[in-house]
Amino acid sequence: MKSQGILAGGAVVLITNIVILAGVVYNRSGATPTAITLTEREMTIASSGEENTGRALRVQWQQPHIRGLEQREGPEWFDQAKLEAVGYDCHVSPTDPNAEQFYQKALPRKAYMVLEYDGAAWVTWLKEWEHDLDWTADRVRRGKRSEESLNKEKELSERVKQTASRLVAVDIGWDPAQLRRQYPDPAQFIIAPALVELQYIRTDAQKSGPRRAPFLRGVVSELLVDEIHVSLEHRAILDQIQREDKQKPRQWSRFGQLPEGVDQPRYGVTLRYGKRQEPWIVTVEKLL
Amino acid sequence: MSETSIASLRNRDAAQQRTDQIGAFQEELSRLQSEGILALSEEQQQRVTHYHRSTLQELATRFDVDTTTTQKQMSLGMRIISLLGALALAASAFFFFYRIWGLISTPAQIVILIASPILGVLGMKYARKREQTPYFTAVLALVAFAAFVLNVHVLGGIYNITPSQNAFLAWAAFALILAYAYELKLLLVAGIVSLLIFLSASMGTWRGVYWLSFGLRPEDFIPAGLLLCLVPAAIPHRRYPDFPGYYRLFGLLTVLLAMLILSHWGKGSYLILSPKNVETVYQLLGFLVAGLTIWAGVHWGWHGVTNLGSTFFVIQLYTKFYDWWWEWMPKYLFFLTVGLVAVLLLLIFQRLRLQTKEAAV
Repeated sequence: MKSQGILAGGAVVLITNIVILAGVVYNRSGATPTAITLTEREMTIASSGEENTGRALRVQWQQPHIRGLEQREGPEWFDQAKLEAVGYDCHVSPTDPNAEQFYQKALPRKAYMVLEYDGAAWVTWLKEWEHDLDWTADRVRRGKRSEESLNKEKELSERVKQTASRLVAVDIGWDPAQLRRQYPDPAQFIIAPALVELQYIRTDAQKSGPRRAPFLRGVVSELLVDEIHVSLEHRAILDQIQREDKQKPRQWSRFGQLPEGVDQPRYGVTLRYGKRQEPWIVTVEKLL
Repeated sequence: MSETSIASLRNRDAAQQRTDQIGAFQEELSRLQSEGILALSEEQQQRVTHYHRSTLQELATRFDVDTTTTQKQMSLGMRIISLLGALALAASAFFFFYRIWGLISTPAQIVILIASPILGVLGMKYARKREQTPYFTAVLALVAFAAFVLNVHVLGGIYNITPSQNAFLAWAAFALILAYAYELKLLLVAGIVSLLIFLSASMGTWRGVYWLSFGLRPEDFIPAGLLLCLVPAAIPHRRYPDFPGYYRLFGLLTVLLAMLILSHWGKGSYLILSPKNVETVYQLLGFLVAGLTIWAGVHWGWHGVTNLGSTFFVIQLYTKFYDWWWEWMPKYLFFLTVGLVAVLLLLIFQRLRLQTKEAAV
């Protein structure tokens, strides 16, 4: 019994590792022929602490509905139809008296997010910032907001324009193959697994715009793989930058902006996404 | 003890039970003799003493049983030390790997990750051959399990694999195989917990929910807990008389804990009812299931189960008292009421116990 147990235990270890590595080979066997090249703005060095010598890059991306100092309802394209497409049961009308109770039970689901790099969505997002600044300036003129809050928003807006991630979420879906047919350029669009949540927006909770009847909106809360491992052969440049950065403490940046004193990205990263939409780093190159 | 009788003892626990039986018999015999109730002849006394001495020697040689109270205390101490040592070594293996992995190439990382649990298992085989009671084997078992957890987790990180609950199935299989091979209860617990997480997370994914959200719905744990309780009924454990108790205990603990949480957190339920109504439903169910647990424990002689059911019954009761009376009742009166209820329960159980005793007589 004991020797059988040894063999069986060893077999479990080997089989598990074979399954994992076979999955990796499968993922990389159908890799998109064109890779996407991002910069330090989109791939920041993840902090790992002294006990961990591993190195990873964190994917920074923008949620279109989060700007400035406030968070709004989810993006308009993530409406009830999209929620149903990713598997949410939305048969109860949002105006139904029991709707809030029903939709509060909805749990996060896995779906596939489309991220556009330095495209129309990024331009639109920056325009929305300007629009928000105009709105804040108007509130200041009417005495409803302070001059200080406007200056803070202007400062943040400028910093974001120059140094924040240009990856913006533009779509969500259930089928990655179908999304790839819709967004065929892998050098501009990333399709990655993400976690989505359903929001039930009540009339009194609406932050901006004309009052509407209650409605449903989706939100992408996180990428399921938001830290990408950097193997030994790619980390020399990052280690050097990490040593330089230790001299200047990095402040938390809501939109993934570069550290203070750094106005241009210092490295570029080429990524590939495979058949299972799992990424890996192809190259890391110094830019400055 | 005849050769056949000793051979029929399947493991150390059975041998220890036999040893304790002999010890209890010797104490009782001595008391009966001193009170003049029983008198054995010289020949009978010698035969019994000789039989017990040779049996205990044989049991100590074959199974390393504790024949005195001092030995028992030392064994308990050794088991505690073995557990603490195993946990410390497992943590050390984890942190050591994270310290060195960034400095070595990917192929080297993979070789170390795969080799570590296999070496751990081989180490267990080596240790078991050299000790009668598996203290070092248990330490190596936990280290091997920790190494396998690290193996799967880190490999997932190296290749940026989307996390899933399937890792828990692999960890459960590994732990349970070794637990049954070496009769290690600590590894059995690790396997049961891993299996519980896998089953609960899978309940959620079958509904299309992301697996990590299973903790947001305690109801996902209830079917998993019930399945665990059924394992001893479905799979005979003749060679492992202590193992079924662990399945029942963890299974029922999971079910009762989930109901207790839902009886105070109605928002966490799948039921499309107001939180207040959900809490009422689960409070009633909680009392019912705790009561059934006590009954099952008494009926089938599962002591741990009886204690578990009683504990949760009392917790449910006291939390209801708190909900009803804490805000408006003077504190001294609240605690007096709780104390009096405890006294009332004692009287009820005493009455029941007396009735059971009379029925037995």
